[in-house]
Amino acid sequence: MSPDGEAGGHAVRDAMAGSGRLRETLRRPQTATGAAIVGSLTLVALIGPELLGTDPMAQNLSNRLHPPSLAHPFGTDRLGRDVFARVVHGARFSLGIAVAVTVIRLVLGVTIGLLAGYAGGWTDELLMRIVDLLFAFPGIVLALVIAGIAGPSLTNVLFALAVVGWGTYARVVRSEVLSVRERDYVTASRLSGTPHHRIVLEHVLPNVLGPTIVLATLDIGTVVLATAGLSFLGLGAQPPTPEWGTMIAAGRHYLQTAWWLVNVPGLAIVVTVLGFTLLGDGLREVLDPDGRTERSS
Amino acid sequence: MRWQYLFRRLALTAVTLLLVSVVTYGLILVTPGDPAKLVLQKQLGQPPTAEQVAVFRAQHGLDEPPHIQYLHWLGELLQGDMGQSYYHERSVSELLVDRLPVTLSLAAGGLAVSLAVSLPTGILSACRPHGYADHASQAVALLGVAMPNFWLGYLLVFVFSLTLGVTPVYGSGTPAHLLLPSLTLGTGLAAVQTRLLRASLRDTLDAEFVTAARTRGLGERLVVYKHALRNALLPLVTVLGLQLGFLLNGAVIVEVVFQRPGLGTLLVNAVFDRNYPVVQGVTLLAGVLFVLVNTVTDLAYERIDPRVSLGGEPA
Repeated sequence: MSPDGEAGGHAVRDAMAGSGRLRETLRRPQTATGAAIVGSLTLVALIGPELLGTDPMAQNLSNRLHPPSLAHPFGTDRLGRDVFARVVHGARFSLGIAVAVTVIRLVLGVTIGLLAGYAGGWTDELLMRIVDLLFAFPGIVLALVIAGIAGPSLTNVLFALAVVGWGTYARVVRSEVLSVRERDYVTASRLSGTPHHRIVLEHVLPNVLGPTIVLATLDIGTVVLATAGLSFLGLGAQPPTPEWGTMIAAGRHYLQTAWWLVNVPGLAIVVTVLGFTLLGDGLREVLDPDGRTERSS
Repeated sequence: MRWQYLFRRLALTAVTLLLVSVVTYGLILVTPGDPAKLVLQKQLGQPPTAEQVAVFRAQHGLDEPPHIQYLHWLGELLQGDMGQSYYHERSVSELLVDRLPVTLSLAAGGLAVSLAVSLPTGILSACRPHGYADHASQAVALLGVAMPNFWLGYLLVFVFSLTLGVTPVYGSGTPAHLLLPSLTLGTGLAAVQTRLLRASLRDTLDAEFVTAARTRGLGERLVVYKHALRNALLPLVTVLGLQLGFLLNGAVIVEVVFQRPGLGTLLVNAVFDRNYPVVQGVTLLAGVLFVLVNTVTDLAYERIDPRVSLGGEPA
């Protein structure tokens, strides 16, 4: 039996209690709806385009601005392209970008938070001042400037959004590290010569896992909104890429004649963000009962 | 104590803005393409001659090495000069002064709409938790958070301008022009505020002093409005300051949707036109506004709640 047998036992018991609570939370209609939306969207993004088989770029100028019909459930756009196929392909772009941005934010934020909390001293001071700086500026405006100057493209939007958004993770993780450090069993473990990386892996990371999962779930929704917003402004995906924000920007000139061009991608965004928000709020009750991830803005 | 706090805040602001300007300058440096050629091409409608490019570069100080350019810009900034726009022969500060009122009126409108919605719904929800009104308002708040404001804007235009014909479609100038943009901007804010006010009022209504007030036989109305609400509003005040960031973010998109000539449209156009002095100017102003409002919020917070002491160690 390893010396951490007891801590391991705690972890297992906690995990079991957690899975019981998870089942309970999933039974609530809000969380269940969120999970269902997120699940189906993931499926659509992964296999939807291939399953559908319709080319989202295929133009048919004799079939322009056709209202929804059996052949084109969401109508066609000004170049006769199938809007349904474009929205389905858009799910891949939107979710792909959102997940990528969130993963970068998470890795950056957790690493910096761990470093700041664990190293303390001037490293901590410096890193946390950088986080203050990030919070001292409206995020989209900063991302807009970064992505705009670097040149309009989805990749630049991805990096701009990742760079401006890791602060929350760093703050949550750092404060968790500070509180875990002082616990008796961690002090004991440190005094008995356990190397730092093992203390981080065994005691600190498991404690910050819950809050970061909650933050990340909610973040995906926020990033979907931000990406679509920047693309709407013309900074992200460029036509003819079937991205939701770009589709709204292109469809706005047909507000009166072809209502589906703006409303179908708009609805797709709302459903996506709603799904991740509902799921994130539900997960918070299981994974972060103390409310360390409460959003203040 | 307060002076120390203010000083610290100002110092942090100065460093933030300095860093933001360095980052922006750095980005401009590594970006391929000569702004002089791009700008002249746009202005003339044809590729500029080498001589024209040279004149433009000399005029805007682009012929100097990058770090000198930056120091030059910084030096002039400290003397109150934010440089010249690459287009229209106008100074950046002139442009900012022109556009600021358009954005501020939009922000004020959005804030008014959000408070008009969130105060009554928040109170109603908190007083009758899990009632119909509560569930309805929570559902609406959730939708408000998930709704992209560019889509909401076009939905409102479609319903109120194109179908009902009661509001002007695009542009700015009259109060009627402000209506739909304010609604668009205010909805997202209202959603966050309602959630927050509900939670904070629920907590306050459970507090001992509220129970005490009830035990003394005070009417429910008096208890809620005079005793509980005052305390429950504290978190809302803080969030209002933070929400200015949200307002500025939102204003950019709302201004583009409704084609309002504010700071947001100015920034977006400047970014596309590679009008770098204007980009620097708007970014700087946004940062100053954001920090200014948050400082004022903190001071207000201290006023409302005597237990809060700025800059000092917690008692």
